[in-house]
Amino acid sequence: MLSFTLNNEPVEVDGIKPDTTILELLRTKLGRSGTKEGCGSGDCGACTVVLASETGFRTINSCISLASQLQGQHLITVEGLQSADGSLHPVQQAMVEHHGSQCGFCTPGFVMSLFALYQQRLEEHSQPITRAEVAQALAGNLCRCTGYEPIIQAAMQACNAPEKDPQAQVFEAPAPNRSRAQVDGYWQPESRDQLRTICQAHPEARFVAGATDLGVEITQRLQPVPALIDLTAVKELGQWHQDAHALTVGAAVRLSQLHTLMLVEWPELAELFERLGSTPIRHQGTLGGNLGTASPIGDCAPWLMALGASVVVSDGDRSFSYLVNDFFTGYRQTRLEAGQWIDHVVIPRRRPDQWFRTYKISKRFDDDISTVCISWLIELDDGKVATARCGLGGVAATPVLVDLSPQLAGCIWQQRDTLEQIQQTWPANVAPMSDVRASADYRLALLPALTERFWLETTTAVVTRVLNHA
Amino acid sequence: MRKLIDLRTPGNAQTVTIPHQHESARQHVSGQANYIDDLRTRADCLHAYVVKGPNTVGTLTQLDLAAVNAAPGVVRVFTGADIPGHKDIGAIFPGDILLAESVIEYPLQPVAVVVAETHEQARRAATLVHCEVQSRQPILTAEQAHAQDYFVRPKHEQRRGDFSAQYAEATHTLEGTLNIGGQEHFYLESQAAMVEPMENDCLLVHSSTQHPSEVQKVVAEVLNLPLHRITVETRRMGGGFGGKESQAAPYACLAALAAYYLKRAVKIRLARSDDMQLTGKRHAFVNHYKIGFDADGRILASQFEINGLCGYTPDLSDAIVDRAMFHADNAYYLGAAYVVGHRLKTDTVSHTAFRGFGGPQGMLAIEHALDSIACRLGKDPLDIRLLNLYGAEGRQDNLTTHYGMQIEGFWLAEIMERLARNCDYRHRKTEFETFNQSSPIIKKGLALTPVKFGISFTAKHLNQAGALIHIYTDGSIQVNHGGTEMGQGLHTKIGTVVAREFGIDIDRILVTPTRTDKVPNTSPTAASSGTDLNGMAARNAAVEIKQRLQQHLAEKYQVSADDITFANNQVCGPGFSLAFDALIQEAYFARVNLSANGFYQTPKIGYDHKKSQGRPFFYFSQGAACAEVWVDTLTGEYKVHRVDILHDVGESLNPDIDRGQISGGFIQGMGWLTTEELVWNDHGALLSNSPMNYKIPAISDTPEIFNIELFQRPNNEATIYYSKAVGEPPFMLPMCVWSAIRDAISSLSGYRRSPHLDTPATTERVFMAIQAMKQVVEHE
Repeated sequence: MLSFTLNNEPVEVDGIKPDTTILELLRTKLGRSGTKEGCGSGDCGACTVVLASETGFRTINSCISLASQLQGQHLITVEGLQSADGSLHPVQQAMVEHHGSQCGFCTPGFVMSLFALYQQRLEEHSQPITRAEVAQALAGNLCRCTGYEPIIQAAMQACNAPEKDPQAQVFEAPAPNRSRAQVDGYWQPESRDQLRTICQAHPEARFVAGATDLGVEITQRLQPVPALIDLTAVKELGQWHQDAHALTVGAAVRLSQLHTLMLVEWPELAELFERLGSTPIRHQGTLGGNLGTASPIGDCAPWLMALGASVVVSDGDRSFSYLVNDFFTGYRQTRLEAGQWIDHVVIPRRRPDQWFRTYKISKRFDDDISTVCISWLIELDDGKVATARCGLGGVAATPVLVDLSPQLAGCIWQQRDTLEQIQQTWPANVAPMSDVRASADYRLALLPALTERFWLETTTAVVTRVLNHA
Repeated sequence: MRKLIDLRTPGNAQTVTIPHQHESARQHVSGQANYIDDLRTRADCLHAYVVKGPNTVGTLTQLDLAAVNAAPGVVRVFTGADIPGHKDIGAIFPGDILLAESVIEYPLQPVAVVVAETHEQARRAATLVHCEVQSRQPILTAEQAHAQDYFVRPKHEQRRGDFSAQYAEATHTLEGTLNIGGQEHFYLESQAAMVEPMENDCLLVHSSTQHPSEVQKVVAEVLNLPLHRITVETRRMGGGFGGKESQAAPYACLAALAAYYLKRAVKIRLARSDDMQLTGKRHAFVNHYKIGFDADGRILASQFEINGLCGYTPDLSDAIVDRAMFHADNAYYLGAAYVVGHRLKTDTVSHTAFRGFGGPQGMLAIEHALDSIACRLGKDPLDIRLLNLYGAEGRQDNLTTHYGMQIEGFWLAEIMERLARNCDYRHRKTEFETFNQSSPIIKKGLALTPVKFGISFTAKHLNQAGALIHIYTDGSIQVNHGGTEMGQGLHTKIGTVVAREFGIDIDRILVTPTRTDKVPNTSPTAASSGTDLNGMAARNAAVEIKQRLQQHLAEKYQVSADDITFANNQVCGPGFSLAFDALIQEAYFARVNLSANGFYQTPKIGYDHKKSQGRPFFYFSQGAACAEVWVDTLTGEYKVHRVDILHDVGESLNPDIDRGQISGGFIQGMGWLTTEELVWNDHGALLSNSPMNYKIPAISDTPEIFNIELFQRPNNEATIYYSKAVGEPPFMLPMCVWSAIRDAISSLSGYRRSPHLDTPATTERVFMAIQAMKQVVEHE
């Protein structure tokens, strides 16, 4: 039995498997066909739905999110937005008036992303909304018909300083629900101790947090996942704290939360976070998941390596700490052993005289996998290089760290010689592949190019970017 | 006497205003618009899925379906041997095999269809097939196909004057080769159908198709049934773009095959990656060109060898390559011209219709060449374009195309000059040249390009349409027509036409789902013709009923029928006025026929394929766009910063819907030219088979400044209320984006050289073009 709230109504369903997706639940078991399947892999956003919680309204991709994780949550779908009298929600009305729909198939997803943006603006109620904010909220929604401009116009109108409408549908976050989902093969421990016990009792079970990777495996490879341990309710894994030396972030902290945390000391990461998946993906995906999948191009590893971060794994009794670059052992392989989980990540705090940049090259700006991701950290001592670390994604079977500190120690950063010295070292340090995204030649050529960008940005006033982010 | 329904409106006159919103907009935004997979199915509905063959081409030596059959929930598996009728469903020419039996002609070609209790069960079962195949090396490139005379159809040639002589005499010449990538449709609703068996061996087919009559025909052929047993209904598609013109049919056939045997409703829908791998795409082309021009930059001689890579069957490729040839001129007088179009066979999925239908691929070469001419002569590319437009000064007979069609109503010079003024082209061009001199990394490019696009099916018989209007006794009206709704707003426009004819509010009119039992023998909704054809047919049906009503009133009031008008929900004549619905009730009692069908055939057109001469198009839609692009010369990244469009829609039937077609067509075309890259491996298998690795434009790709203006001048031909087609033409406007990228790269040479840039111009290709330009400049 699974119980949750759907559009303000309590719902109880039986027969949920651990790997049933929310989309499947909605469309085939609950007869709510407003939410669409466009791709089944979290790339198009036609399936976007919203979860209401005390911390606000967050969009997720229902096609790769698991129904078993819905216990006690409040799920809002496109069917729930109209008022009792049938009048449209302001975002729906704006979409109608601005011709934001053509074929209409992507529209429910857009409406839900706009609804979440609207709710967020209702809370904040601050500055006039910008085109960039709209784009951020909608970067995970693909439309093939409109060219987006009518949707942008609808969003700008509806979500710009919205007023509370007394007639409008009100969605409350659910009261904390202590009852557990009764889904065979699904466990949701709430503490590290419980997690240890469940891990020991069910060694066959797989971990899940945001399911942004596992969900794709389920829908694309069609492999049943009969046993799952959900990490998202483990209290310790969802926490973070900072001391004089480091920021410690629990593995189940969502990428959207990490985004906010990281920008405090490392504002240079703003562009990368905005381009890491999409808003719904960052609402689901977690730091631990991003590292645990060990993708050669996962966009957190490069900057974590450059910053000298460590990943701490645990089996509940013992902990082991690895530098992030030491954590990956091969293509999609890590040092994680059976019975262990990624517990938290320790990120050193910023020190003076550090230059830091992270660049992502991809075919498309929004929601794309990196062709190459490069993160540079240079620490200077009186203008001379003391530390020079470069984290790289997309150039080898794993993310790699190139530590040029010994080689560059004492070089004057301002001098072009220093840049040229780095550029000559690249071929020796990496071995990129050709694949569907780019050729090895292009990847190889990007490394000196992006290093030059870094050098130019830290030594000159030359304009180096076509994006507005930077 | 039988009592009729009470009328809702008082008899007062009221002004009719016609809203512009899409007829389904409310349903779209509230999740109530139904697509195939949303249809409430009967309790016993089964689910079918295609069983894919091996991911290579060759001879099938073994097909083992035992595990598929034994999988949970499986009801039955069908192969080609189970097909009672035609096994070949080729739309025009043969070749498209519904289920492969012995030869695998493209990777993953379906070999069976499995039917199970649920979609998931069917999909999982389909993966359990085991095939043995004797594979062979596939032919995938233009060079390989030419070398082996591997064609799906014979070539076609068009000639005017003596190209060789003029080319030899020209002051300047240039030649080049352009590799033009294909494009995945990426309609958001993947291919889907649901088939319900009815009594008397009839089938009701719900299909997400642009061509219900074609689906009806092939389902009937496959099942060996007469056409009248098959009814196809299409309420709407979640996007089509040409991808559901011929390609919806196989999935409807597979579901129909299962429904026919199992006597149960059967639904089928493709998962996204299977849709991407199993369906054909926009054709890739390899075009060679040679241009001779004078010292002013005026084209004297042009030769285009156009090579369309068609895939394994002809499908619609003959007409697609023809259209590429018809548009090799884009908007320019080519001088002495020779155009040849080859239809190359390749061992991949069969490529098919896609918005523009070969036109876009035909136009790129001439635009590439004009930029090169401008660089060669040190002139502004806009001036070279204006100089070469049809109708420009200084040349005889310069309003005739290379296939002998006289161009009328051609106002592109005016459109381009107005757009250039409105977007401050000249000033910005100079400003960017200055900026680029002082900006070492970021270079700004600017380009303004025109589009002239021919409107009509080049297959003459398709230029016909039918419509059916019923007026009920409360004055409400049902309209049905042969066109399909895929988001383009066709039903909205047709409803408007009928409301306008009767002078009544649009909410009295319901445009009902397209059905082959209401309007038969229809053409596909394609070639931008939906409104032109069906709008006229609907108008003709409305006029027919109006004439009957006028006749009735003329007799009753002893007035001339010509003096009776329909406006503001009223019908008025000399000395009388009555509400529209009151008239309808009166007419019913007077036994006036309140139902009519309408028909339309496009006049004037005809192209003689043997002589390569004639008028394939009723008229041309025109437009121009200007793009500003910022290019990062370190990495090849670029951003389309601003776009200005002035597009000719004739007397618009619905300016908002037309504007939506323009913005949507532009971004889709920009995707084709920029980020959307199809990548195939050496076996012909598609590697870019998911939205994870095939990137259509996302929201940030829409330029920050995006100005769209309609050029509203009544069509010079008598189309529906003198409007113009708008579906495809805007797709080619983003050639200016591609041209602006090259303009930015050209700045590295001081605008003396025009870079070569194949499409799609991914960041990688742009990077490589920059590197090549830097090397050339270094060596000079």
